[in-house]
This record gives sequence, C-alpha cells and structure tokens, in this order.
Amino acid sequence: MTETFYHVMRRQGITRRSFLKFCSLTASALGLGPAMVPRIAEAMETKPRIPVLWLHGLECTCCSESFIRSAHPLAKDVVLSMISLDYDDTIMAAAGHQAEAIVEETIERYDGNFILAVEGNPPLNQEGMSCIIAGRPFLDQLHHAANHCKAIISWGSCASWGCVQAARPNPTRATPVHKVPGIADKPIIKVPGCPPIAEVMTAVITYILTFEKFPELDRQGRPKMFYSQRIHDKCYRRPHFDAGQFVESWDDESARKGYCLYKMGCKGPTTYNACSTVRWNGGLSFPIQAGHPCIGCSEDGFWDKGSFYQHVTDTHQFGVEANADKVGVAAAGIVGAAAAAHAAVTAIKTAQKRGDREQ
Amino acid sequence: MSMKTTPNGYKLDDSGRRVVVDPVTRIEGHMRCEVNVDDDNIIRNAVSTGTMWRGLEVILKGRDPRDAWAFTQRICGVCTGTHALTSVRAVEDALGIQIPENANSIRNIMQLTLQVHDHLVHFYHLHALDWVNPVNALKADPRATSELQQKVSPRHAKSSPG
Repeated sequence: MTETFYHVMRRQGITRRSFLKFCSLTASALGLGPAMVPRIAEAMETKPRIPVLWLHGLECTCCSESFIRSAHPLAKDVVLSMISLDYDDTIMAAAGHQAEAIVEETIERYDGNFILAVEGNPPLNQEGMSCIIAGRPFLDQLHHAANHCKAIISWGSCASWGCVQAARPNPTRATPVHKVPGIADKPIIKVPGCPPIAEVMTAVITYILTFEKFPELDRQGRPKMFYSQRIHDKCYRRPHFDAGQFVESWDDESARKGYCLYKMGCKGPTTYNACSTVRWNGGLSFPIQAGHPCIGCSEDGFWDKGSFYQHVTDTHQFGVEANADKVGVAAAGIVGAAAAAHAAVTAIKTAQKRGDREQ
Repeated sequence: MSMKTTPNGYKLDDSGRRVVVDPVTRIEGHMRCEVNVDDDNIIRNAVSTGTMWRGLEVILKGRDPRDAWAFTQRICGVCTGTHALTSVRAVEDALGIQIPENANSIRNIMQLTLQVHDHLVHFYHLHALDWVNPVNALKADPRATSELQQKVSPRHAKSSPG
C-alpha cells in the first residue's frame, strides 16, 4: 500500500503541529471552515496517496507551470506527499520507453483506482497524427488510460474546452476530453483557465483526497467553489464600473487612476473564475490589477469571441446619471425576476443531483 | 555503413546501433530523438522530431493584430512572455510603429524577470533531474552540505549549520 500523506510528512521531519496548521490552511483555501480541519487531518493521516497519471496532449505546458507555483499548499507537498504522481512528462526523471513503461505499470497496478489528469487535448484529424507520443497517437493513449481510470481531471482550457488549437479554423480538429468520441464514461471535473490558478489546481486535488469525491460541480462540470462567480463580481475596480469611471485609452488619466477596464475590452463581466479573489503568484496580483483587461481565458471558445480589446456590449450597468432611488427600484425588479429564475434553476439542479454519478 | 540523403539534402549515416528516445521528457511539447552510435559510442547520426503540431500559424491568419501576442504566447507555457513580447514587436515592425523609450525599458524588465524565473524553473524542475538522483538526494546529510557551503561562501545567508 502507498504511504499516507501524514507518514510522508513526518518522515520529512515535519512536526504534528505544522501538519495541523497545514490542514487548517488548506481548509480555509477550500472555503470549508474550521469544522472541516479534523476531517482533512484524518484523511491525510489514514488514506493512501492517490495514484495520478498526468498525460499531455496538444498543449503548451502552462498548466504544469502554473501547478508548480502553488503556494498553499506547496506543489512539492502535493507531488511528494498527497498524490503519487506516477507519470508527468514535464517533471519526471525518466524518458523514452522507461517513461512509457510507467504508464502501463500504473494502469495495471491501480486498474480502476487512479486519477487520470489530462493537460491538453487530442487532435482527431488524420487519426490523431498531429500529436504522437512514443510512436502512437496521443488519442490512443488517452482512450487506453481513460478506460482504466477512476475519474478524469481536465486541467486547463485545452482539456476543458479546446483552447487555442481549437480556435477557428481548428486545423487539427483538437477536441476537449469530454467530447472525444468513444471516451470512457468516467466522471470528469473541468478546471479551466489558460492556465488555471495554481491554488485552485492543488485545492481540487486536496478536496478529492479528503472526501474521496469531486467537489460540487456546476452544470458545466467546474468546481463551484472556484467558478461560481465572475471576475467582475469581486473585482477591486468594480466600484469604478458602477460609477461609470472607465479607462478610454491606455495612456489616459483614467488608466493612471486605475479605473475600470471594461471599455478596453475587459471580459471580467462574462468570465467565471477566481482570479479577483484568489489572485496569482501567491495572491500577489492578477491581470486587471496589472492594468490589462481580463481576456476571459477560462471561458469556452474565448479565442473566437472577437478581439480581446473589443468591449462586450451586453453588460448592463447602472447609468452615471441614475440616482440611488432609481437604481434601487431597478434593482428590486431584477431581484424579483432573479428569485423566480432561481427557483426554476434549483428545481433543475435537484433533479440533476439525483442523476449524478457517485465516483 | 549506409549513407542516406534526406529529402532536405542532409547526409545521414544510418549504420551502427540505433537509439530512440521517445518521448523526451521535461520539455514543453512532445519530442522524439533518434541517434545512431558507432562501436566507440560516438553519435554518427542524430534526428530530432517535434511530434506535435497545433497549426497556430494557420489559426493566426485573419485575426486582429492586437490579439496576435496571446495566440503566439501559447506556443510555450514555459517561456510564455518571450513569445508574447516578440510577437508584439513583429506586429509593430509590420505596421511601422515606433515605441517610446519607457515602453522599451518596461519590456526589457519583463523579459529579464522572465529569464530569472525561467532559470529557476528550468534548473530545479526540468534540467536538474539529468544531474541529480532524487532518491539518493533524500539520503543526503544536510549538515555536511551546510559545511561545504560555508567553505565556499562563509557569509552566505543560507550557510548556517544544518
């Protein structure tokens, strides 16, 4: 049996006190609250590490690059302690047939019990010839691993939606994992973004280890805890949007004052991701904070929705001339309509949940 | 000995022992290397092949030139910013745009910062595994390492006894 996370940590000289601190940090990163800390600690102490096969198709490796920058928890803790990362061609020591032998070994040893993490996607044109690994199409490798895995993590926008290689005209017919014809019927969690936020990636893995299931997913298959809000909802420049204060050109006074970037093409209002709360590089910053509009990289087909600098025209805002009373009346109307819509959505969701597969 | 001429006009010595490494790991993308070694283990023929094609050149056609950097940046997730900055410069050259000195300085800072970060990633995550055996490294003696470090650089902040 594979060692538990706790054993590995103790072997590395980490005290029990530090271990518990790690658990509580992880709980808060997952938005679970202090009551869940003992459960995480228990999972780490008693559960064997999850075997993970991390395969690469058509991709740019930015997901792996993001992943190794995770600060809470540190990527090294995840890679060395929480999971048993048996194959990842970006960071593994082996190459060539030794590397490919590990894929087969993992599939045989943990048949039906390993997590298949997919970074990138397979091309379907010319029977997958645009992505060849060890002399065989990646498409074959993906099918083979998917047939034997327990569940699939679709890392990034490539595996989730198709991303840049699937942008018009999609010359290789690059196809996201869940749309690959004949792909094994396994639970799939999408963690989109180009790349996804490092802490979101490690948090998803921590959750799966702790609770032995996926976190709650939205109807597009993304973890709700990170993808249920738009960048716009928690953007620190949001007050400028509401006040009608916009940057009109890159070098104007409004840009210097840090006004809203909506008119410069910001896709924050239509992009569901956690950048404005979790932020990047250990919480240091995110694109809007650096003065550039969000390009909407976690959304399906974001490459083909017009220029990144063309502003979206279907976002409603409170007019600058409207006073608080008028805004209040309008908002009350919206709330009423939203409540009705919400009831309908809840009914659908309840039905969906009943149909959900337990992984 | 069998000499071959490739369609591109290169001469290949296809004799001796053939060694194939596929996939080459710890790089961006997918790669295959084939070499032929003679009796003295000298490489007489080497072929490397990128085994992945996404067609970014085709996808870029007909796009808004202001967006080109983002597509180009996705060539590689390890050296992203370099591709982006180069793409921006290519678009500016094509349109005859002169950039102010400050913009040039900012870009240089971005590029050099990326270079520093890339050295760390490349050495510790990618390159080091060619030189370090991680299994043996775990058995290393931190005190001995620290003593060695102190001999080399006594004032180094990290050279305190382990």
